[in-house]
Amino acid sequence: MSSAESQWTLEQLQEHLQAAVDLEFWTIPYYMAAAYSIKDQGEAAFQLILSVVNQEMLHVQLAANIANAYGLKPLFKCPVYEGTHIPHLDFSLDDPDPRTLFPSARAEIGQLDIARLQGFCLVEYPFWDTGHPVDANPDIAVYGSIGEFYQAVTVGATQLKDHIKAVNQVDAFKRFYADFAQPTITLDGSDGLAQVANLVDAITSQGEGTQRPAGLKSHPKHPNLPDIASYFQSASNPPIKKQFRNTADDIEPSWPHFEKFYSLIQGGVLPETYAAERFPREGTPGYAAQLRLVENFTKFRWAMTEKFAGKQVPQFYVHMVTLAGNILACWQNGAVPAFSHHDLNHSAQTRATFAALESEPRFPLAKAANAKAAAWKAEPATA
Amino acid sequence: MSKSILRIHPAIAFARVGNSDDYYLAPETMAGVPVAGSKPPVMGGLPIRRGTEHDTITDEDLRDASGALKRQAARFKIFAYSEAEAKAYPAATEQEIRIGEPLGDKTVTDIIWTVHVANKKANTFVLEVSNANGPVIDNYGNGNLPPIRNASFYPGDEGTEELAVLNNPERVSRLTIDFGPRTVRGAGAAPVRFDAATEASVYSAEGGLKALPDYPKSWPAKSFPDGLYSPTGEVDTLGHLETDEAGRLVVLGGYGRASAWKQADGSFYQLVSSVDNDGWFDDTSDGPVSAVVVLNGGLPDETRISAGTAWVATADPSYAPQILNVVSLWDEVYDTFVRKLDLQPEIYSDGEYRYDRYASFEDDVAHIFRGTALQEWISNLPQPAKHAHRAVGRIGAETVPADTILSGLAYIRNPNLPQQAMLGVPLMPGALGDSGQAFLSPTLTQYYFLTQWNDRKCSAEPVKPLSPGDLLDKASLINCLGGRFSPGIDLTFTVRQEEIYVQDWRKKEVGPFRIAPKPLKLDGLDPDVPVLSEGYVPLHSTGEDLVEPGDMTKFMSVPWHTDYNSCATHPTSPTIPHNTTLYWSWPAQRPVHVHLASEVKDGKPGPQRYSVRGPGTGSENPANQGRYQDIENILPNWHKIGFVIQDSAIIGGQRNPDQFFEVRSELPVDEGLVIPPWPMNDKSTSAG
Repeated sequence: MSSAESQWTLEQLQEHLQAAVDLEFWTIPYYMAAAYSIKDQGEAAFQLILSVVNQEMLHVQLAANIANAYGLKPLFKCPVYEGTHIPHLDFSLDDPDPRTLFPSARAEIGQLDIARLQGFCLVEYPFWDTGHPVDANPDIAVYGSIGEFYQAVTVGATQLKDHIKAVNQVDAFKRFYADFAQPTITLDGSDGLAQVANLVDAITSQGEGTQRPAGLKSHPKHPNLPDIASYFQSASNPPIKKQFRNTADDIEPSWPHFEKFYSLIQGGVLPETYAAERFPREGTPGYAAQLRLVENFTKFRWAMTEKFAGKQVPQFYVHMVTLAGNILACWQNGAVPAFSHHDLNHSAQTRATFAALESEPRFPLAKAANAKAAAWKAEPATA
Repeated sequence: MSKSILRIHPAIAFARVGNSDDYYLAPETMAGVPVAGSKPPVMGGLPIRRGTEHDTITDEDLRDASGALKRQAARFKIFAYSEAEAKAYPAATEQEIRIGEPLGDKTVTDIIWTVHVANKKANTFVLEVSNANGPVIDNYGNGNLPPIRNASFYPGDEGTEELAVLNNPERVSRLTIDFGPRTVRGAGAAPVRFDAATEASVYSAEGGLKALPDYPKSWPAKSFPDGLYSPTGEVDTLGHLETDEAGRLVVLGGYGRASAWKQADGSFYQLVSSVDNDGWFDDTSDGPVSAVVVLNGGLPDETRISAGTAWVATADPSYAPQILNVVSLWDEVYDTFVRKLDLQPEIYSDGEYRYDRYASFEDDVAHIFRGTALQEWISNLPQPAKHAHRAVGRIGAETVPADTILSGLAYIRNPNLPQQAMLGVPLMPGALGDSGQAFLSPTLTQYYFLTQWNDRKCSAEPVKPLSPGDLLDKASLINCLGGRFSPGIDLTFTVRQEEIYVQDWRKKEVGPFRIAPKPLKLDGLDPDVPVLSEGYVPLHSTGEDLVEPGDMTKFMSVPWHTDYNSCATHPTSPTIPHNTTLYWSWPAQRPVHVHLASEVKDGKPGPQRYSVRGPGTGSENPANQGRYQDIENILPNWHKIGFVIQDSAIIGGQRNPDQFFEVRSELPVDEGLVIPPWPMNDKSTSAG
């Protein structure tokens, strides 16, 4: 069914918008954990990946702003990192299937390695304009690429433009994008549609770059696939649109995410990373670091849910900023960062505690407000 | 007879210029540290009221009745140590030495102080070297020297090498401000001035004081009798000495004046550079301080004990005395002594830090966190960053590091990994770096202590607390700028050179952190032959006792005003590709963005204003805002700049110790000028 023939309901669009938030949010721990596995933050790989992490936070904000405009207060559910599964993306739907180019891709949290980099490239894989309408299926929020996903969202958003209301808009990154004139939706109804489209444009432009020009070369080894290198090295291929470039702290502000990641694969030599195990024993410093990260990330998720529901959240930024330290502490203590109790090698008692935490918000999120949380912190002195 | 060893403290003290005859005393507490028992509660760093032991000033003490800016005097005290303690650091003191009080079985009847300050800024090397992109010290390496200031001012032959030019006696005489040494003794001594009219004198073992009527004094009007351009008064003094009722030394500096001489075409030199202005003098200075304590004076058993030496420097006003630098001058000097002069082998020995040693949260770590939390009062941090900085400030001795925002030191720039000096946010400190480094890094020793803290090898209290003398040394230095020596405000990169210090600091009357004064030949003086020379040259001077009067401040901007004006916010240097973001230079020492006490409403701060503001300071380009566009305008206006102090030190304020506001500024407010939060960009270039 072509996009022109599909009629979306508001619930279907909201489901897609929640999926958009899910996917954007999912990338943050995935990328961030790999970045902080690098021992020297001075490495270009660290800087490039962190710049993507920062931009993904912007994407979360933009996606959540669109969601709120269509009446959905987005939830920040616990992301799952397993096998090769990337939420809401099914690369078999893309033609040609990009997994041919990135066969080693893994979706688990891990050190920066080729498996992670290939996974990153898959997430940000460009949407190739085949000249045919996108299969914007309102029933299923699964697509072959992020670009295709957002193009489908645009179809539904356009149909339902009369529902747009400028509520619960967040603008946390304004000063980092001096040329991004309107990262929020301020107009109701059809007047707000251009703003919605602008936010979608920002996400896709930053993530994948613009669509390929006609006449893209074929990959030398895989004739059915595009030659990614020539795509980005082509002078005729514009990078991130100027208005969507970071103006504060990005070492390559014109590079889309895919280009940043792909450049690291092309570079060949990856930086030194921390050695770590995924399931350290309970009672070890690594396990304690994992517990802290799970605790803070869980609080952060709740804080995000509250913030994008229009509420004031005490210490929101502190929870957000502390995540990097939590992640680094995991690596420094020999543990792969864990973001939910699913990722832990824990006892039934600990599992129950986490389940309780993850099922109910605890606000304010002041330090040691939670007796259960305090109990998790028991760790042997390292001295 | 007492076997006590006597030492002067602070080892390095700071007077500060002001355009008033009146003064207050330099702070003897550390910025950022709550002062125990203070009511209302204040943090350290506030200067002390003249004539008091430790009563801190309020906003009403910053200017005199005419509105002129008071100078800051440096007060020196002498402490007694046992022989065993004198070899240690920290070292417990036995007592302070005051006239009229006992020392052992004798009485202190007199203290004879000798001070010799000078200004050599016009006869030294430039700071900004074309095409140099590394640390300033590199310009002195491999036998090289930077170009010299006033290169065209040389009465000798062309082609003479730089050091010979700088040591030419005529050039030294005419470009050095040197009124010679001065002595002062007793309690409540009247001012003894560093000026042309006052006779030079030194301590003499024979008679107590020895006059030096033939001392070859030199000052601008003598050197340039055909006239000087002095917009706020001629540079005709470097300050004065006096003593208080206990016989402690009080050193005053100059009045913040600057004078230009005439060029060959008869016109006066203009100000054209931030730091290296040919044809200009200012009235800052530095030099050695020494003291002899007289016991049972006039009695058959009269005894005189040397208290060794210290150093005094006169620098810019401290416009935000309670705002702590995250990397302070203390951190620099301490790092030098730890790594190069065997200060505490339990911390660092055989070229390595000792990671089995516990740090002290209060002494070694807390100031880094406190300094971080205070930055919001002098810079335009965005709201999320303020929350983050405050979270750092809440870290206490009992806080589990892994529970904090600094867990893993994820946001601390690692000085052991040089390429991190090119990385901006989120790495901290979020300020511009030293010469040749884009961003500021903690010192190696600071990072070591942070590592120990992060690894939970940190105790709440030190094994051995700092004594009153140690505390004075630390307080004096920690209230000054470190890290970004380009060139800096108080002292500069030479504090990292171990050869400037007395190497064997464990010797009796020496003690750590002592700059080693060069012995001067004061016999057979000729009024036309200078006593001083170019003096200490980094990486070139050899031997010990290398530092002449004026040798520490000569590496600072001439005049200091232009550098102060310039250093608000800048792009990074070296530049970072694609990046035009502006960062702060020295915000804790040179406030950039401030909240005015007069604009507090319902206890809340009003909008931020530029500290340097008013006519002539505006620019379309954020890279040039908050400073005089015509740098000469700083000369008549520097003393109008306001001070940022704690609300609890503001009479009529809200008495909220958590807030810091600007007071007593005489610069006008443009109420329509909105200062957006960081980040802001240099508009003169565009990111690629």
